[in-house]
Amino acid sequence: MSSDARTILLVEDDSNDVFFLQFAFESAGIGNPLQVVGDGQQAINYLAGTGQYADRSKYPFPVLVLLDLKLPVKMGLEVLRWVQNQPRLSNLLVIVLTSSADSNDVEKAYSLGARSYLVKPVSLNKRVEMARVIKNYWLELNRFPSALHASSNQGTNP
Amino acid sequence: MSRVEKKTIKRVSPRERAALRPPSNARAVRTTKRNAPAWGLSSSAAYQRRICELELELSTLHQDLEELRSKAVVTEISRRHYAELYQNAPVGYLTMDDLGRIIECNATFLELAGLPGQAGEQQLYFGRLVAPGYVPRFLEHLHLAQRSTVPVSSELYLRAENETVPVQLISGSQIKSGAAARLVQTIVLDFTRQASAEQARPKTQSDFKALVDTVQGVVWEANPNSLELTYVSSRCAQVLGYPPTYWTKGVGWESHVHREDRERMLQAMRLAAEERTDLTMECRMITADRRVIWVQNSMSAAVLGRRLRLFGVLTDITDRKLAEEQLRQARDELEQRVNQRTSQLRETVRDLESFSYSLSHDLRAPLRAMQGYAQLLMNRLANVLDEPARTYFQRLIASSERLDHLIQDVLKFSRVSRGPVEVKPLNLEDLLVQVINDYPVLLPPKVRIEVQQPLLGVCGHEAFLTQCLSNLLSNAVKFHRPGETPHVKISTQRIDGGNVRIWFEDNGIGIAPEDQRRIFGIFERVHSGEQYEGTGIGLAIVAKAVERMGGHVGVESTPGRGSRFWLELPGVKP
Repeated sequence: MSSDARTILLVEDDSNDVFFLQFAFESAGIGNPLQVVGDGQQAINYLAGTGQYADRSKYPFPVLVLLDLKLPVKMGLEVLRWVQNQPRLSNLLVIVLTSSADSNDVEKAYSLGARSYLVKPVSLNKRVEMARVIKNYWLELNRFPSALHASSNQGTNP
Repeated sequence: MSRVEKKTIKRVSPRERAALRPPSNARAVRTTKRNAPAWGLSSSAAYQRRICELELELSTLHQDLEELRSKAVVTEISRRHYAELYQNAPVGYLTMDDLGRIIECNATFLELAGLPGQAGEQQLYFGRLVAPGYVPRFLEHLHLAQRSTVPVSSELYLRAENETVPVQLISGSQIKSGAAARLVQTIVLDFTRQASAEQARPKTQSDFKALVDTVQGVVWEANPNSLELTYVSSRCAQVLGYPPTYWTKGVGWESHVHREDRERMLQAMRLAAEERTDLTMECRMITADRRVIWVQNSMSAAVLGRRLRLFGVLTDITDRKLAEEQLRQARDELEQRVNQRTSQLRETVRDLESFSYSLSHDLRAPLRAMQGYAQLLMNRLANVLDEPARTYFQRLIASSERLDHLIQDVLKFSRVSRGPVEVKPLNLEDLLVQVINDYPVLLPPKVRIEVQQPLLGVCGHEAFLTQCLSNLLSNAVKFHRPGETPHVKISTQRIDGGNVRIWFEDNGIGIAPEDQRRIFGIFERVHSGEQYEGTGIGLAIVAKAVERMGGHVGVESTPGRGSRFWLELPGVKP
């Protein structure tokens, strides 16, 4: 498994949350490279490999996407809808990581293809705990479909 | 009567007489017989022969006579039958000569003339029976009847005992065989009944008119075909400003109906006439002083005396229409205001929704950050911090955690306060198992939860009821007496009217009577945060959610011994 293939894409606009997630990942011992984008449109661009994200050596296609729902420009649910409409991205694993525990959001996210829905823990310790679970389950136990990293440089306009 | 009979017989008799008359040869025989001695003795043989001939002839004559007699019986029967008909016909019948002398008449006429049973032999002149003043008319009638080849008719009065009798005479004449003068045959019709009906009519009519004029509206009648008015009651002068006569002169009443209503009015009248039905319509009419008034026209068509008639009553409903219009305006205004308010409210609700969404995201994010950094600092400086400093950090973290709970509870409360509530039958036991499994604090050995099975089903909103169950159970566990394992007993009870009460009985600290009402209000806390942590919203959420599902909540409690919370919801029909 190349290092490119292990990239995790975090879609998060709150720098504090980004910081705590990085801290939690470090504390949990997650060595995967973490790419961060700050809004929904950038997430789409990254996944499509357009604009600055065309260079996959710099911005490798992610093995996992952690997606916040409340985002500038394009909301998380819109990103999910876009992903659902891209046949090439049918195997992409998107995990929603948000502060909203609203049942409406949960249902919509799953119906739009999210593979998991996590609510951001409040305390630091719980964040670290969650990062460990992600590492154990998604990064170690889970088997990824091989087709995931196939699509790289062919850009799809949003 | 007998005289009449005799006369009748006389009149009917010629045929009979002719039948009874001996044949001419018989007469000749008789004559011969009478004269026989003169020449019959001349020869005895011839005499004998003659006798034989005569005997034969006689027996033939006897046969003829018998035959004629039996014919006469038949004739007599039909004669009586016709005589009876003649006498009792419902009209007077008489024959008079050129001077008006009554030659024969039937019983009906005698009765009509006030002469019942009078029949004497005296001469009876019709002229004498006529009321004074009508004699010339009678004489003219008689004169005409004698000369005319067609029946002649006249109306005059007969002079009966105390009154005059109106009659119609219909006469024709025939020449009496052998007489030079013509006989007049007359039918006398009694007008009395008809005349009395006619005399009475004007009175009924005037009564009827007076009655019609009291009707609070214009009574009208129209020709069902042409729809022209044939009658209009005098009330129309008040309602429309025109006298009744104005309308029946063929002025084209429809020109007084508002242009937009004219065709509808005509259609209604046509429909009423065609369907022979009752029909009511409202329309505008123009009065003589050019005012537009609203009228209600109730019409009715019916066949009366073989004739189709179309009537109606026209009532002025202008005042009512005005009131209706005002009411309609007021209603429209109200509707408009309601719509405005509704859209304002919708906007407010939308604002509230985006507000709570930003509450859950934007407000909680910095809070989480503060808490995270505090924790981070505390971990980093673990070696440097003294005991008080560590406590400050812990308090900082606890406060931010509490604020987060508060925000989440306010969100839950606002969620149960709005939005549609769809109620369906729920299995309470399944829901309880789910709640207990979802909350680690509700699992043994920390707590003993006892369910008195079977639990009755209730109708509710699944998410709301789940919220209620978890709030009530965590409360029961939270407010336990120090050193005692919380024990919660859950049971259901059917209440009158089909409701089901769910009981949550705990062995906790209980609630003072004065606090029992307060605890269901939002932000009401009866214990300090030091003792029992909480936001004070949990029971408010329960109360609001149960209220939204159409139920009630309540509590019975003895301080120091425990509480019995209940919530009542519509039950599931067994």
